[in-house]
Formats: sequence, C-alpha cells, structure tokens
Amino acid sequence: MSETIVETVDLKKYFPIRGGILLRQVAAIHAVDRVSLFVIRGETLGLVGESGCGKTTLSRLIMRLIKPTSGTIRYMGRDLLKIDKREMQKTRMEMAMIFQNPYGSLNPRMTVADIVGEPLTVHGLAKGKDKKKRIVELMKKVGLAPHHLYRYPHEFSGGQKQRIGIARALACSPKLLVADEPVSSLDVSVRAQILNVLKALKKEFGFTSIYVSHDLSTVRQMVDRVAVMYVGKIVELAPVKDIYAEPRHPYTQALMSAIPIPGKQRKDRIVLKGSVPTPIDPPPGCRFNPRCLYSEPECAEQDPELAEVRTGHFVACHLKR
Amino acid sequence: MNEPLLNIKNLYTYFLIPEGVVRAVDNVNLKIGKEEVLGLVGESGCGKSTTALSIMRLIREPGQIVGGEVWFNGRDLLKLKEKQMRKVRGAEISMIFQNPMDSMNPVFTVGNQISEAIKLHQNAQKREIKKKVEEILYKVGIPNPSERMKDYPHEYSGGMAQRAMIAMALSCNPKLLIADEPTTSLDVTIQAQILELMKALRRDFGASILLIGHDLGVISELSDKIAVMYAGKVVEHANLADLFQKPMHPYTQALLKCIPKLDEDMETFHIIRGTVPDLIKPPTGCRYHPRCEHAMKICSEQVPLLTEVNKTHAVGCHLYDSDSDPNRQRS
Repeated sequence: MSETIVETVDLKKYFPIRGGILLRQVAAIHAVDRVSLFVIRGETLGLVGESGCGKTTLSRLIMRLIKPTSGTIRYMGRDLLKIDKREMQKTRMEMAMIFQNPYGSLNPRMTVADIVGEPLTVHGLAKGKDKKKRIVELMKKVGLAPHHLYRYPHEFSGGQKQRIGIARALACSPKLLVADEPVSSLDVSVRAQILNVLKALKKEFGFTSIYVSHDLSTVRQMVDRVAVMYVGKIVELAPVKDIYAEPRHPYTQALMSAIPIPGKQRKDRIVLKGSVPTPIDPPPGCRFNPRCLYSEPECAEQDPELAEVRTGHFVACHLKR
Repeated sequence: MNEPLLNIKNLYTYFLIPEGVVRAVDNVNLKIGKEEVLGLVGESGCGKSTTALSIMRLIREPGQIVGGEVWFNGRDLLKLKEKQMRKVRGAEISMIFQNPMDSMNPVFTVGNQISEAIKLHQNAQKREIKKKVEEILYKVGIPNPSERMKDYPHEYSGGMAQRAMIAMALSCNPKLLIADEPTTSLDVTIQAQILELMKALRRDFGASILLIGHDLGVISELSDKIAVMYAGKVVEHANLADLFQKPMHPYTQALLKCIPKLDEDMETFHIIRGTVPDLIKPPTGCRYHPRCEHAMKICSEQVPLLTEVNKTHAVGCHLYDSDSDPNRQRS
C-alpha cells in the first residue's frame, strides 16, 4: 500500500460561544466534527464544500495552526498533538500553506525578498548569498522577475501577490502543501495562470498537497481524490473521476448538478430546499437529512458513518446510493 | 423585432482622477428587446457595472457620463431631469447587486424596506402595501412571509437576502431589471436556487433583464443574447447559441477555452497571456491586440467597430473586415 503522509482520526474542533456576565460557554460551533481521512504521498486531495462547512478549519488543523478539541493528527506516523514544540517546528518546515487572500497574507512592510526568504531564516536553511540565490531561483519558478526582489506587496497585482505566496510556501521544499482557495479572489484569466503554476510545480517537486476550494470546475483538474464536506463532516470521499461521473451522496449529487455549464441551460439540476444549517446546532442524525430528497426516518436519528461502497469510494449515507 | 426597450447608443463614461482619465465605458452600444434577457460578460474592471450604473444614472464623482444616449421606452434617460429620473429608478428600472447584505439597510426590517419602494412609486393604502409585500415575498420563495417580513436583514441568510432584494426590485413591476452579479457571493447550491427563481420570475413578470456577470456558465442559464465586454468596449454581441458555437472575437474564443472541462482531463489550463490593460492609457487601436494571437498591423492602428455579421451576431475585430461584403453594415 502507498504511504500515508497525513492522517486524521476522529478529529474535532468546536469553537466555544460565550455569553452572560461570566462568559460561560453557552454553545459551540461544530466546525469540524469527527473527521477521519488520510492523504497518500504524492497525491492531491481536494477538500470541497460550501462556505462554513469547515474545510478551512480542517486544513488549519492539519497544519496545526489551531488546536483541535479532540482527535488525532498524524504526520508521517508522528502524532502532531504529542510532540514537543521544538520537534513541531522541525516538522513545520516540511509543511507549507498558501492562503486564500493574497492581500492579507503578505506583510505590507516587508519586501518580496524578505517575505520569500523568511522561512529560510526561521529554519536556518540559508544565509547571505546562498539565501539570495535561493530566493531568485524560487521567484523564477513562480514566474516573477529578479527585479521584483526589493519591491513591496502593494506594488503587485492580485495574481502576482499569489505568486509571491507560492514562492514563500515553496522556500523550504515542503513535503506537504496546503492551498486554501488559492485562486478564489482572482479573475478568470489570471486564475488559470496561477493554477498552471501550481500544477507545474507539483510535477517538478512531487509534493503531496491538499487543495481546498468551493469551485468544483477547477477541482476537477487539480486533484486526484475529492473529499466533500457538509457542516463539519465528510460526506463523500472518492477518486476525482468517480465522484464527478457518479456522485453517490445526495448532497454531492446536488452539488455536481449545480455547476453551471456554459452555453447550456441545465435541465437535470437538483435544486435543494432551504440553506446550509448552522454548525452551532446541527440537525440530529445525518446533517443533510432536512434538505435531502431521499430522507427516511432513520436519517434523522442516526448519524451515518463513512463507509466504503466500492474500492476507494466512501460515502456517509444510510441509503448508500 | 420592433423598437427595443433599452437602446444604448455610443455611451461614454469616464472617471476623471488625478492620474488621468479612466475610459471605463468607451463607445458602448447595446439593445435589449421587450422580455429579453441580455447577458453582459467580462472580467473585473471591463466596465460592465459602470455601464449598468450609467443606465441608472448612478455614476458618482469623479465618474461622468461624457456622451451618448440611453433610450428607454421612448425617452433618452440621459436628458431627463433628476426628479424625472427618480421616478424611473425603482419603478421602471430596478437593480439588484452582488452582495445582498450590503445593499439593505441594517436598521430597518426587510418588510419595511420593500414597502418603501412601493410607497414611493405607487398610491396605496397601508394595508394594501403590507399585503403586497407579503405576496411578493411569497413569490420569491420566502417561507412564512407575514412573519419573516418583520425580520432585520441580519436575520436572513445570504440566499434569503438575495431573494428579498429580488422581491424589492420586482415590487413595482419594473420593465427592466438590472442584475449585477446576482449570484456571485452565494454558494453553489444557493446559486442554483436563485437561478431557478429568476427563471420562474422571468416567465411570471415578463420584465427584460440585463444580467451582468463574469461566469459564462451562470450567464448562459438565463440569457437569450450575450454581449462580451473587454476594457470598456463591447467586442462581441450574439445569440446565446451562436456565441458558444461560433465565437468570432479572439477574446471570446479565448474566454471559452479558459473554462475548465468537467468530463475530461486537462494537462494545463488554457490561459490568456498578459493582463487586462490600464484604462488610463489603453492600447491604441483594438484594446485586445497586445494579448491577441491573431494581431495584425492594422490592429494597433485602428479601432475596430462593432459590425454586424448577420442579424444576430456582431463583432468588433479587424479579422472580419471586408468592405466589399454587401451583407455587412457598419453600426
């Protein structure tokens, strides 16, 4: 079997909501609820879902940027929640992240050279001339010119800023790259350029990656496997071709049918009733059951577990469609 | 077809800023027939929203409509007095925006805001207005409207708020509805709901719609015709089917190629090289020529005019210049 790079077991993240004078916890946002998944070396896992479904929280948990409420995260066999600070820092060197908003994730008072070079300094990988050489090399890889070195983020367009973010993420030659909606703030023609950069780099360096996105049309071309999230839970996990050709979970089916196809007026669209429930007080049983077209009494009572319906294709649905 | 409902002729809207003049809308011609849906497509900054705001005469300083005519229902809107224009806005032409939460007043209830539009434009009793608001909220699919109309905007979800905005826009039975990226801020499944709603309302209300967007998929769900804008100009204008089957302008062709495929693997995504030009100093001649694969000498020298190829298809590109062709008219 292929090697697992990242694995989560029953991972939970509840954000407390405090109220009253004593600021006691009055409720919790069930952002990520008992998520178990694995990422295999060299693959790209797509994490898709609508806003508020917990995909960003899950990716941040995996990066250990936030602490889970309970559960386990294993990176190359090591339990990230049990190792000490120093070891964690060493592990971090192997993990990198690209953020959604290139405007917010670059320090406006640092030059491009400082931004891209910072991870090298932090991890003590390069100094002086070596460092500069490495920075120039990284910039070339993402399509920026060396004369951009001493400019500040505000001098760049959105697409170029995202390139800077990618160069920074690649600085320490990561083994795992998490890209959280890397192109959702960009225009169509620029979006394609950035995605091509990511694809080419992935081919060159062969890192494992997690691609978080709500845009199902780009996910189709970017990933090997897809995990669909709904209100904090994974409802379906399958190889990309399978899930697009034959989605099994009723939610995935609706999601797929909602993708507009240019030049066509879709007739096969499944229009869901209502809107995504709040993760503060998720519906009992299957979280999708109030909106599901095939809902049965059982669905409102028991939460379905993710089960393999055929090799590599997992669905969390009582009907196992 | 008889007289179009909206006929924009040679519209120029410029923004006069210290750095120079931004030619946001530069000689735009568009027509929308009765009960027709026109999709206006382009990347951000191409002038599609400015065109819409120019129709409504909502351009603010430092923006200015410098020239042109906007004929609507037999009148040139640009010649109306502000007082007359106020009667047109909301009653005859109404508009919905990208972010429904930002376009509602947070300190008034949703019902209150919808009734305001009705009060302004129609003579009606208080009780009648309330009934009307309820009715229209029901039509846009808000459950339990008599209660939900007492809610404040923050109590609505994004999709519900957009439904309420649509209700507000339709409350005075406008002849033209301008929808500026109505589903962009919404999630896919909610987007599908709003698109289905707009399709149904289109049948019920019979209003013409100007649908603005950057996503050709969303636009083609509703539109009869599509106009493609690039850097302040309309570069192609065609029936929905024609545009997708026989795109003529190189920019349109490139845009269509950029759409990721769902049913097959792609090695790389198609890209349009370069970036959208700065509209203070747009390229000479055709504004697309620096990025165009088919650029010729004439392209940097002469501005191509939007020319009819046949009754339903017009394109502004020198590739299709042939003055001897009798079927072609300069528009």
